[in-house]
Amino acid sequence: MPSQTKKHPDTQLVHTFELSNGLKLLVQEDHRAPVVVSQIWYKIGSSYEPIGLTGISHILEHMMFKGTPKYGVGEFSRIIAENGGDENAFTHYDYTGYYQLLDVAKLPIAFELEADRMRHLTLDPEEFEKERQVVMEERLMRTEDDPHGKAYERWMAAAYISTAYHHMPIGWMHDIQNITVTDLRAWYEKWYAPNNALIVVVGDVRPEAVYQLAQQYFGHLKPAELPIVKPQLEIQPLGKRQVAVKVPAEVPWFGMAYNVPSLKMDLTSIEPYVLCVIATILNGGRSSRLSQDLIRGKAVAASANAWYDPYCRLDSLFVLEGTPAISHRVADVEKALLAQIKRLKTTTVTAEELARVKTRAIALKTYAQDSISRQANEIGGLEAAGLPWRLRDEYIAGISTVTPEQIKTVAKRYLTNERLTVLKLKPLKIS
Amino acid sequence: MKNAKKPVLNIEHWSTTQGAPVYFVHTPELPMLDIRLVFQAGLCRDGHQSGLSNLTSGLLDEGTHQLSADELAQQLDTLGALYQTGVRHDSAYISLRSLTDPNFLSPSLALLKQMLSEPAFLNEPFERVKNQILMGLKEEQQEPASLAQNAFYKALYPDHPYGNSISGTLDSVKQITRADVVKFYREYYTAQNVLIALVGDITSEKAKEIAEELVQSLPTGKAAASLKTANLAPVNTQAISFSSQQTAILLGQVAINIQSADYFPLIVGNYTLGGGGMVSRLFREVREKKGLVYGIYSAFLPLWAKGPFVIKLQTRNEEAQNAINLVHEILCDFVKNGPTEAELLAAKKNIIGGFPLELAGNANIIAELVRIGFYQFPLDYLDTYRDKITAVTQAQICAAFQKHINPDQLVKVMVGKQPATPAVL
Repeated sequence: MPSQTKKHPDTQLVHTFELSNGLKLLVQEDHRAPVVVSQIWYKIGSSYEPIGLTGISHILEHMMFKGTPKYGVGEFSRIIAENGGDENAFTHYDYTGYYQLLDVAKLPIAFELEADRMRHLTLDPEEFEKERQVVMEERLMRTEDDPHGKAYERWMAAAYISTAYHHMPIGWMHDIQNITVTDLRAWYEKWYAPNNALIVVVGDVRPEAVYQLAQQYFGHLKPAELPIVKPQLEIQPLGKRQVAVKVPAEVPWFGMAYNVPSLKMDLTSIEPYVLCVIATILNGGRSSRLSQDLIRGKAVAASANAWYDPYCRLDSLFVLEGTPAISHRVADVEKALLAQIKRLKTTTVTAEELARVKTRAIALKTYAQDSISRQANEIGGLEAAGLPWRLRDEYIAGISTVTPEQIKTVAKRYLTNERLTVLKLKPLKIS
Repeated sequence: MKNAKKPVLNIEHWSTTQGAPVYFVHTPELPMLDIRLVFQAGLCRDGHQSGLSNLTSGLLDEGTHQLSADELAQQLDTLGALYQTGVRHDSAYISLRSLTDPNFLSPSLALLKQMLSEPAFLNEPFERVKNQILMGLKEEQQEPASLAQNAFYKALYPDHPYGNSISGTLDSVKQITRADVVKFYREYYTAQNVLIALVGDITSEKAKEIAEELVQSLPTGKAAASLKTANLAPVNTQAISFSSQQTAILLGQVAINIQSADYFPLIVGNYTLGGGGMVSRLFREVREKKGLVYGIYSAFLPLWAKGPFVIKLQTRNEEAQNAINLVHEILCDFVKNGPTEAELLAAKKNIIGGFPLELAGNANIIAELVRIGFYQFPLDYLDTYRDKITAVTQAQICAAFQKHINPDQLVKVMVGKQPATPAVL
């Protein structure tokens, strides 16, 4: 296939293929540099984990670097490194992903190694015991010794009542301590199969050639009989929840999380796009309302943010958080954030403000194309959460149709006290 | 045959009429432009006012003589332009990312020019931004890694500006006045202290015009004085008590300046020691074999006036001493014997094989341009880079490590719950 000759294509085409064993392949060409990013995404993450096994997807991600009969402990990383590659992995609520960034000529090496560890992981008990310690160190660093990490975990556990977003991908410490190598093997065999995975390749490649390569390396892998994934739903919240976290810290912190739907629950709904527009109005750029009114303006906050993820597989949250400025208190930030929520419900957003939201989205979309990893992440993140990659290109159209009236309506429907979980981090003196 | 190899990157380089160096790479594929102005205005210029460079940098978009901070923010966001500033040890930068459509680019550039040339430094934003920085510094007090980092640089550079932390300290920032900021800006944000890098979908002519205009708008002044070279710090072990479950550990030494002839042997060698991600000796021995850490690495940070060599890790309090002993053992062995032949080959393969990744995308390209420009590397730096890596020998690595790193002369900082007696090597 000839490369794009149009100078500035508006959207980039993603070529999709499916192998007979159910492995999905998504390829996007980018010929600016002779490099490629290859990612494999498994549709398994912390939101699939029952209590007692929280963190198991993440531990398994660590164990994926511990060897197969063909390539021993550390060999995967050694080979990728010797070929000039940059690699790592990530575990999320909805998926577990592995990536290699490479000279384009080295793509077959990444495919061969990934295919090998998809079905042939050794899972040696001694290696596991050492890696358990590493994961516990990771949790100490990210959660136990970080006031925000600790508070955020408890906040989310209160905000998500009836779905497994209740726990973080790192898992609870006692679960990390009690998971066994038998648990890991069962988890691996259940979920690591071609029909539960997708490969995303972005770079200086021809889609058809990548498909041939995928056939060659992954084609022989047998599909697994996948467990039926049970539906998880957030139950109707019936009143405001409050979480107080008292930890040794210097600085207080305040947050508000509202239970809201994600796009996954209804692909035709405009509401997730309205929530995206609201998040941008509040926190998109330095002209956004939180910057203008809380950080500048009355200067009650040293920092303030708002965000919403429409692309998750279960129900989502609309989150606001802030740190009070010096000589202000958590109560001042709370008051100011609630005033922002009220304003969304009562005052009509101006045309200029809406135009800024749209321009920003268009510009950011162009800028995102500068990074092949970013491109691949967008495609893979959607598909691995069970959403079509095309939603990436529908975002601008989606937010462009949002009206000021819809903003008021959606704010009134979802940004309510009943749906709210408040966090207050109350510092204890550091000894 | 003549040596007429095609350069790996087509870098255009010239000076503006005021003498400011410009580096430009034309990338036609995406309708966007990245611009970065780099000033001799890093934390090394703080003097005794630690945090001054950072506060000055943070105030440039807080209002001009014509526009308030809110107006500036609104206009930039209306254009979809991204504005960013940052402070490093040697430099401070301002970058702008814009669409190249003239309806967006021209007004974005006009705003950038205004921020560079007529920042108002009014009292209200000055006090506010200062307070934000103070809050950030209070947050650092609750993070063992930040506490360790700040204490480490202070111990490593007791009488050199590199010992300052970027944000300063609670005491030093409180004492900075508006007049200090205005003075710092006039002294360092000048046409004599700037270099400009541009990468994107514009012609050379347009790049020349933009660079010329930006430099014209800057105040004129004197070129910043060169820095005094840092001395080796006295051996120093600090155990700072903190109520965390992990101990954050930093070990290191004052090492080399960026023009050092030992630069290539040291970075190739360090890849094997602790620079090479998941395949370094430190990673393999301390994490993979012993399960003592999540993160561990070693690095050289070459700067104008001798940057540091650093080893960083964190481990549960009760293992801190074991981990330090193990790291010390690995470092001693490496300084004495260097990498094995196989390790050296693997290091070269990675660095050379990964070279194309460093030049992929506008963001990576502009980072390379700034590095070449700011540290005055020759224009063929990237063209000769791989040959220089290839040429490094094991003997050179050993000699360079033995010359610059003495494992028994390290500065050590630990922040965590300490055992009863302070840790010693």
